[in-house]
Amino acid sequence: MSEGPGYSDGYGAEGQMVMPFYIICDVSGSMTRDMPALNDGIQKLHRSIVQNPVVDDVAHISVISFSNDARTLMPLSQMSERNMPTLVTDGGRTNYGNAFRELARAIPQDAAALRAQGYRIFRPCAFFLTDGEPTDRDWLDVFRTTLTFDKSTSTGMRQYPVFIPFGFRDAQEAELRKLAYPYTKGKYYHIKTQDIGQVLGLIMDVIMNTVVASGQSSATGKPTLVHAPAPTVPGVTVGDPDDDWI
Amino acid sequence: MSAQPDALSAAAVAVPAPPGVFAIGDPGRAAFATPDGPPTPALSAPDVAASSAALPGIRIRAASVRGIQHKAQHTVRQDAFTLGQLGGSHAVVVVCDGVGSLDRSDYAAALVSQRLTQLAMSGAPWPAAFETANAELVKVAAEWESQQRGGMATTAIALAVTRRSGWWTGEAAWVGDSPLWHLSQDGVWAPVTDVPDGASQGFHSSAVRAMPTPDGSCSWCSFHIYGGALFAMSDGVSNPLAWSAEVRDTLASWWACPPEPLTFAAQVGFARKSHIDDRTAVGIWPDGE
Repeated sequence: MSEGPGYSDGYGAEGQMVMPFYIICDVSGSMTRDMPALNDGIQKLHRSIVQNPVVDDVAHISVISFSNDARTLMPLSQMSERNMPTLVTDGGRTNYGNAFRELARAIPQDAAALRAQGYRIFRPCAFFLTDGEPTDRDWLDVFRTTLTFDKSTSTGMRQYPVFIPFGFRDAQEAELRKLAYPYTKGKYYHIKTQDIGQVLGLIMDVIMNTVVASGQSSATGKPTLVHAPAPTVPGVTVGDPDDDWI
Repeated sequence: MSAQPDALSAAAVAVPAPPGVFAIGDPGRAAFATPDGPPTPALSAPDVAASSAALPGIRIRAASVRGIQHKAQHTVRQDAFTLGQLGGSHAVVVVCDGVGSLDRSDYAAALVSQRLTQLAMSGAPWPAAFETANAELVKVAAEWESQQRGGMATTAIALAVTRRSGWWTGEAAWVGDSPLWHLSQDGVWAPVTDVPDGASQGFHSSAVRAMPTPDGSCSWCSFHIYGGALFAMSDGVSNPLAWSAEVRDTLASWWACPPEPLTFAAQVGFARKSHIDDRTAVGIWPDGE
């Protein structure tokens, strides 16, 4: 939420555009041996954005970790003005629902703070990284009630994000498919390879490509969300969401 | 571990504004750190187009500047403008903003701006001119699409205006989000045509209506405004203008009277963080008052 160095002139950030991206990382016990690779990937993403001023001027990134609980490790920030946090595992379980609740809490709070400073905000995009099946039973109900919006009844989260799940190892494709949202924009990535370093590199490449493509979108001449092309890596499935479950 | 602010990283990557460059507020990093890139592979419009003109009681400055986004992507400017006259008393101005999702929208913007101006100069009323230009664009777009030469679409704002006894009198027509603004003598900006808010469910949306349209129709209005100056522009200028008092105040100051043509072009390309679109503005000022 920077106004940039040396430009506090009373007008603030009025009219500047921001694309919020949330990276939600599974730090449950099963991720223990993956943490170095995950942190390397996060740092690579940071460097890539800082090296691309067009993206850096527009994209704001937040990092949320989850296992038994979820918490925001880094609030929405411009990458050239923040260091990325170091992710650590707490050995907990894979509670999807608490991750969804934390994201649902953060989005309207961040949006209100940005709007109060005069920013124009694009709809957020959330990347959900997990290696396992959910250990909470009501994860899908929580997802539906906290992060989706039903236009026909005007119920749910009006400020819903575009939600893009990345699952590997024990994550199930059927569950990922239910999390890709909305139908017109959401996609899921299911990665079957066991080389976690490669997986995390791929995930970060997809995130970076999406951020770059969004920050430099040729779709409208302005920043907007577009998906990166599907990666052509063996063992990776890129799919569209279910359109009949809600 | 929570993230710590890192002031050094911002200082390390910030690029100072080159001398003589216009900026409004925080210019961001991209405006000064984006390389020029190679010449575009195909013949294309220059990065910057500028023009000036005068008619009895009227002075005009026009400029179109390639956006940072296109510069970063090594793609061409997709905005265009044309100037004309009608009967020696009316200025004819058209500004077009090519839709970036289609890679030959630069051609659409150039074609539509030229055809609308030609048609207006021949006496066609704006609704008829838009219908004709739209039909021609439909044909060209379909032909190019079939030849896999790329798709095209554009917005357009067109006006014919004269000045009598301090009053601006004219007609404007448009498709999409390129508006006409009035700058009063006391520095207040007011839209003459629609200025879409660009928000959907609380978030910014860049969806836009563009030519070719299914039916060739356009929005249309006549206006009769006292004093000040008129500005037809693409949303690359209009969005920061509509969203920021700082931009309104600064542009009102810069454009209280007609700048030198090259200065006007440099001002149209002002640096402002996150505003990376092509920029086009045509200013119409009174002359001799």
